[in-house]
Amino acid sequence: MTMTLTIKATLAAIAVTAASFGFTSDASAITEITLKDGTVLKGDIVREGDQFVILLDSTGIQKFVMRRDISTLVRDAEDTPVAADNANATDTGPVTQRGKKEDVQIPAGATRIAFVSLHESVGSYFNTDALERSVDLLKALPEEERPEVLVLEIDSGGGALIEQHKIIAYIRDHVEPEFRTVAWIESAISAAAMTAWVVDEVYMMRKAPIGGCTGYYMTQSGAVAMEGAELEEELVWMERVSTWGKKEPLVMRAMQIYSTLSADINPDGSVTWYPNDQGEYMISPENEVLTLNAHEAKKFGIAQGIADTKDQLAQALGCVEWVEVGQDADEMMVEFRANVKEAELEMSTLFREMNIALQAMMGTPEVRNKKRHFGTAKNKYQQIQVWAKRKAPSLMTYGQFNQNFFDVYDERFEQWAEQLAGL
Amino acid sequence: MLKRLMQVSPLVAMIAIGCTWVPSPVVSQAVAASEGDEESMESIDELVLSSGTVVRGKIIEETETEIVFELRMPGFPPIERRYRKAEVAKITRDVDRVERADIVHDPVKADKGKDKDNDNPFVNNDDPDAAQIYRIRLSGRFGYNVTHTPVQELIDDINRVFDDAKESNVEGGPATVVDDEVRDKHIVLLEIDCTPGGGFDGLWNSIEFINLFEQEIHDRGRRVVMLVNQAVDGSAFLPWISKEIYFLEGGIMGISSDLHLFDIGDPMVNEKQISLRLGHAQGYAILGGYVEQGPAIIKAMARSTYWLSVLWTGATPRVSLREPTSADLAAGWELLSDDGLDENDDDMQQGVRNPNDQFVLRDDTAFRLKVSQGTVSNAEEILFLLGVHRNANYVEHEGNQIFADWNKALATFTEKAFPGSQRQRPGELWRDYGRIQVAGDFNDRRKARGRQLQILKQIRSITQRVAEAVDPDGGLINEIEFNIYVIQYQQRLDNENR
Repeated sequence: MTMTLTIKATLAAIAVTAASFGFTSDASAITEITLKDGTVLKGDIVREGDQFVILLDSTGIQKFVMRRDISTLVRDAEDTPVAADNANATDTGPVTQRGKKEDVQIPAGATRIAFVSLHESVGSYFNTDALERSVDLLKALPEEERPEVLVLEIDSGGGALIEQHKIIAYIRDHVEPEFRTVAWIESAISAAAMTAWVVDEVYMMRKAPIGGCTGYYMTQSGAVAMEGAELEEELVWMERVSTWGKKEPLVMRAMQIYSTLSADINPDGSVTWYPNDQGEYMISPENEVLTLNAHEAKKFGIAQGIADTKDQLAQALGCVEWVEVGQDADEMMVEFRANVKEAELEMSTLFREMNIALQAMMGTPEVRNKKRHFGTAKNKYQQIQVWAKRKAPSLMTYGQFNQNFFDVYDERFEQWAEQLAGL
Repeated sequence: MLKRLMQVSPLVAMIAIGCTWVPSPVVSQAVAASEGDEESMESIDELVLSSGTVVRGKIIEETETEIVFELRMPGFPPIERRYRKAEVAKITRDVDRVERADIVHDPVKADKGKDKDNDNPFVNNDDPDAAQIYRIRLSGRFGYNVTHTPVQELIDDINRVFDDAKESNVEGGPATVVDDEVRDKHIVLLEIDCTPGGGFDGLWNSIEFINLFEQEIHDRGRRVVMLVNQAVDGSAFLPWISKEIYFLEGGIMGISSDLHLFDIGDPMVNEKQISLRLGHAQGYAILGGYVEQGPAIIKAMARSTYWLSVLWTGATPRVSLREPTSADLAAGWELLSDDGLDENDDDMQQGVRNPNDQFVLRDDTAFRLKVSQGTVSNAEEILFLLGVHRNANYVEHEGNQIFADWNKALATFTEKAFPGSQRQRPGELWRDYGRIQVAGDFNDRRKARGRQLQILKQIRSITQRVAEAVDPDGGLINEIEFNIYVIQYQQRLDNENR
């Protein structure tokens, strides 16, 4: 049974908080943060919580800083430096995004569970950096509020294979040693399924699929499956991940490539797998790629159970009494995805407008107008850069507006500027 | 009363003996038993057809091969029908006496029956215990005529009409659910009668609002009964999320495209795409509780190369996706669909009577496969099966108006804002837009651009209203925005160069 959370909104704190900080910082209030290693960071605080501060520096890059790493924090030139460790006491109170102080009562004996959602495309929306920031928040919680169980709630159709490598390594090295980690699947396809594979404990929602992990890329003539050494590396990597996640490697292999797979369920409930059709149950025929439904995943031991709600999941995990903690960690993840989405839309619009200005620049014979259009285009381009850096750095790695895009356009704008200067 | 009990006692005995027989899965909307004098009542016979349909009326004639039957339905004149004996699974004569005997035998039922002033389910009555039926028919194409916006409005209307929300704290935190007290009596009867659209990938256009129904059923606890007339493509997946599915006579569920033909390039990538699609679709069958048979049925419906065979045994028939061997067939396995390859290709077989390359779930098979709980000849018959035929009201609602408004908005889009295609000319506003010439002096050009912008904004407004149906990927709105920006930009240049 879920324990009821008592959320005490401290009205006084809200009032002070609202007056002092609000949701976003005043643009004129430059904050200076000195880290314990001596590093000094300056910028606007765009968000802060009990355990963290996000600072936007003058280059437009967001810096995520844990309070525990801060030596002093000066909100503006007239502020007295505040020791970060006791910032909550001397500051105007911990500020969450909602501008309220949350006091979570955790009953003795209740298992503390945190849920962090990993949704949408692996890479730009579902990535190691974002997960790391969320996990850091959880790690920084006081011992009595720190989750014992971290549930990674996965709903994704896949994405970048390269990000999958990073996030798997991060989960294995930095998440699983700290928390009992559970993958809770709403949908895990391709790179998302591979990510879930490293987690020992997998639970499925009833409608969840897991699988379809064939690596491929699109060309003008259609989809091309990964092959050769690249494929071999991926197969070997996932064999290793299967071992880490205590899963049968043949199952992942059948999800990646054509690979006949059948199984027997032994009297003791264990499963014997066959890389052929020898088993009683045909899991994946010769010329198919495997995706398991929830029922199959449980039946053949890939998932430990099926749960549609948090409460059902907690019961399945053996947590008779449990309490949800660390909601900030998921709120940050949700906000991160919203930022990426907003940035994607804005950047697409700006790109379109930039191209119109460039077309106009090329189409007009008058130098004065050419320069004017160039100015408009450059302005739009710079706005794209700001959006990418400020709101969605992940798009610079995985999206259309990646580093290569900026490299190409940096060069082009330089050339256009030179040509216009010569007219 | 004594006389009455004495008369019915043999019938009560019949019921007891008949306990091993599966209760009627389907009841034709026959004569509702009234509490009148049974002496004056004509006896009612019942036929259980092998399709699962149960019809009631009067056996007029019975031969070795045929039954001539007078089918009776309230409000309609009797209809004479002929049934081949081969299609009749069970005959029960004077079944209505059996029912009345059952009521008399059960004091609770008997008392309830006596208290009722109105047994007719089609007339509203004031009985607070009456089941409330919110009946709505989804028609047209999923993803076009049925989309997220009208479905959300429909669900809001259902909750407004029933007004049965209760705060609950049972499942992992506070939630709004349907009050347990009325859950069984507040029934949404959702008839699905949709046209094909999008093949299997109609699923993607439908996921968002299927999820809305899913939340209503599984999170909120709403009782939704699905009635399948034609559930094809996107609409083929919706019924599965409910544990209560019925088919209309002749009803079908299927996919109009063949996933086997899915092709975006590399065959292995195609298989990945097919596999993940099937994985998603099977999830709905599992969600509705059709764990044993649902996933295989969905696979066979979606891809012609899957075999589907069934062994009619036990509570739930066993289904298999592999080709049945001679031994299987000898053991009673029945082939429902083959792999459609080579000599099994229906197209290669002259005069094939029952095409079976790609499985189509029909009313009779759906019932036998325990997907459908029964086949009915009209929606009203379901009330019998739901056990509410003696006391139910259809509630008044806005559901039909919601879809009428949506379809009107679609028609407006087609008439005015459709951008045109090879087969269909552009809408009126696009034609007007195309006629505008930006020429002449500065003022002429400014006016012309002003008119262009006005039209584009009208087009945008009409399109946005139904964008999820007509422009799901946002390409059209994007193009309109682009045009607006270009015109504004040109005007700015004109201003500067003036």
